[in-house]
Amino acid sequence: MKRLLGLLKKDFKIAFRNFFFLIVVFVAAILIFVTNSLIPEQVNMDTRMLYAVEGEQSKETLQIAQLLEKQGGSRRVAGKDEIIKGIEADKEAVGLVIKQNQNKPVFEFILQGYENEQSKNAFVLSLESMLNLDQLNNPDIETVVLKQEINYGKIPFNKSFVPLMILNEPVMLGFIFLATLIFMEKDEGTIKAYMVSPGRIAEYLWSKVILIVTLGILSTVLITVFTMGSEANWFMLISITIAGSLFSSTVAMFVASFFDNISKAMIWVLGISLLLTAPMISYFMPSFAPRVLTIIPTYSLMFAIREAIFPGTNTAIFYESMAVLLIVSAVLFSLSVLSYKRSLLRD
Amino acid sequence: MIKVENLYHSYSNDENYAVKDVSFEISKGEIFGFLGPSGAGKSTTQKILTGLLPIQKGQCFIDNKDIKKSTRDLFNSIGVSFEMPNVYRKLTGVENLRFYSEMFNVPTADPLKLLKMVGLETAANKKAGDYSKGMLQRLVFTRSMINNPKIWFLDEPTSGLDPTTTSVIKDIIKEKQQQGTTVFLTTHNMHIAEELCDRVAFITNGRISAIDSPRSLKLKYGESFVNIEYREGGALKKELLSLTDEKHKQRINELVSKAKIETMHTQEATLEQIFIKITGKELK
Repeated sequence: MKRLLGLLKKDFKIAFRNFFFLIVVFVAAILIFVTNSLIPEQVNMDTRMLYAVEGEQSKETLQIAQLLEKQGGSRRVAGKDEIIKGIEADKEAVGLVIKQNQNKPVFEFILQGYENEQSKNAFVLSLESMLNLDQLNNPDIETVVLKQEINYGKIPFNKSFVPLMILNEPVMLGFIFLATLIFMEKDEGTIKAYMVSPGRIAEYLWSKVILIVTLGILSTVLITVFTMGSEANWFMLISITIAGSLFSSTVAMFVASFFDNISKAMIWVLGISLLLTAPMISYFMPSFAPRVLTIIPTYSLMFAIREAIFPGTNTAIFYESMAVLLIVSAVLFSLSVLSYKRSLLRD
Repeated sequence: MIKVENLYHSYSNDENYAVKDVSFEISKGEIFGFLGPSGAGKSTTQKILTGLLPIQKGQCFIDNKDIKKSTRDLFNSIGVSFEMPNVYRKLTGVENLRFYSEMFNVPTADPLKLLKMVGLETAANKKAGDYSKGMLQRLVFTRSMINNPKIWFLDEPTSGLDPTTTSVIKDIIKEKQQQGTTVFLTTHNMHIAEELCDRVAFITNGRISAIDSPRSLKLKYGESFVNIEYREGGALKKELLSLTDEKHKQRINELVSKAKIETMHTQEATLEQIFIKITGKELK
């Protein structure tokens, strides 16, 4: 215990003098500022539509115009020229001209010009569905809301980024910090001096893991308090931050054990960082979750962090993530101890 | 105190040995010099003895314990001074020593007292990253004394130091020897070895060529000479004559009786000359 305390004292001093704490606070401050001031709370992702009915106005065209009027974000204008003027002024808007030809309604879309085929098809499909609205209102469909006591509330757009920030700063920054610390000591040769003392490799590595976990908790608390206030399940949040930092630091120490200096390891450090952050793609597109992404432990970690910040009912993801991260970390830690012994003796 | 038997080591795990069939014994309180040029196998042997390299073939005993079977507690009685100044550059001199003292389970020395011994007391609170090469060398040297080691491994302890500091270091080593510390000194500096060591081993190409006290080696392999300066026809002449060669002996008698001698000194072979004579290699 005396030795571990000595190692911790040394590692915390070195981390402080290498500005690790300052970097964590500075990056957290930037993320807090971006969340609170730059990202809006609400984002209207709907496309605005300007429409006009030209020529002879039949019963059908008037019905369609009435349907469009009910749609949020649509506005009727006098004619095609006004539509063109309108969408030139508003780059998010599209236009629709409704005409009557041989007793049938004819539609002309006026677009910005940069829309891809998928977008164009989406416009056509949404118009079609709108025209078939009566048929879709199937009276046999009944909606039953379960667990009505749980009020999820609407998550503000800017706050929805907080779980990603926590995944990135405390967890991923810890990965970079640990690799830096180990390579600095390898370069100084201090690990050799340590190896001729009664100190054990496991104690040496534990001290570094504890440092990274502390930095992770500091960062998580700062980001969460200054963006969400006290609204989070703190037990879950701190637990998952500890597990996430443990995971990233054991990955870093395992990778670092194979290389003599940071320049040789850099490509691996960057590659693994990219791999571990890849599951973020699924955060805003949960339906995009191929097996190759879901097997990366940061996938479940990301959703577990979200569960801790926006408590809901999906606590299973938290327990699943905790179990996976702790098991993987334990395996990587054991492998790192063996790898360090081997690499030191090989030197 | 230290016993090495038929030690071999190959970095490439083949027959290309860096250390070949090395055997020696060191008694308690002895200063044993391990002398050889760079790449001779000195550091490899020391690394094996300090556990930084595995024993591939042969046996090593420290304090009658087989180091292959010993626990890390053995390091409580060992001190190692590295040639490379491997200290934490972001920590001050005294912080480096305090950290290291916390790694041991035995009573340790006062870091400030140690720093004072080598003249680093004024730099105690300065970051090691701001130390000069010589200061770093002294810091590494003091760190190796922190646990009051019974067995002290010193790798080029005076490398890069000025003559005054070198003299201080030599005095500390002698003092520790008087207190009963066994010293394994690895160096290619023959003057230091000659002055400090009770016995020396010459090592080249991984093999030990000779082990004995510097005096015995000189008596066995060295030649004594007489260096005579004399005047002849107004000119100052100089001759180096062997005390063992018959012709040279006659020439000495001739000069003593007839020449106008100005200076006459006996001259012993140096340890470096003996090393070259035995190993055929220079110490570089």
